[in-house]
Amino acid sequence: MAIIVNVDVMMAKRKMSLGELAEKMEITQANLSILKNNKGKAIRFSTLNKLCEILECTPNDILEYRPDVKDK
Amino acid sequence: MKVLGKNSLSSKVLIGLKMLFVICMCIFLYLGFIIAKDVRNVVNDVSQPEITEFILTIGIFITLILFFIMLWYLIKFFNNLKNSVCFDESNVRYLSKIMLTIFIASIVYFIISILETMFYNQILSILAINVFLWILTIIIFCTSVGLKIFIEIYKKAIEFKNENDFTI
Repeated sequence: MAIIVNVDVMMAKRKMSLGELAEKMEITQANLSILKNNKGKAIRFSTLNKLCEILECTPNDILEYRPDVKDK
Repeated sequence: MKVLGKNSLSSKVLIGLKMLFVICMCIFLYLGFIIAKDVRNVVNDVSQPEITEFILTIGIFITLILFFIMLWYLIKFFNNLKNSVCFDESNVRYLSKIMLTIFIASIVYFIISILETMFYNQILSILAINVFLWILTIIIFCTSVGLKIFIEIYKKAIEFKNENDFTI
């Protein structure tokens, strides 16, 4: 998918573990892992809001648009 | 009443289907003997009623094989429902195979109807057998079309479910 979730980059910058972030966000580690590994299909505004609040960043830092490379 | 899971409606249907499978197996074997007898009769004496009976028996024999396949996948489908596996790709696969067997059965009945119309010319028989066969063909065909629509809706439901599951 063209949208990349950079939660892992932000987590590394803030030196925060997956478990710690999941606990602060009040979601399961499994769900956060889906988001971190770019397996998610959509993200709720409330989740994005919590992420930005806890990681002290903007949605721009978390979400990135990278166009798909099509094979010719 | 519970539809999914153990001690639910689907588990009771599953038991019924398994019993039906065994009963059909007995009918299938019995019909095999009748067909063997019919082949001998048709070879010896080619009269009109014999041919129509023979066509009907062969038709029923073929549809019984298709019915077996359908029953087998229906058992698998209800087994999934019993195990609370509802919106899964495997269910779509089973339903697609059921749809295919019903569609083939409608083609078989269509051929039987044409042959019966060709070989049996008596007015009463046309009313008694042929009309019934044509109606049966239409019903079976409509069932396969209806099931195809249901499968497409089911696929959409699975898509929505997956999307919902992966929305964080």
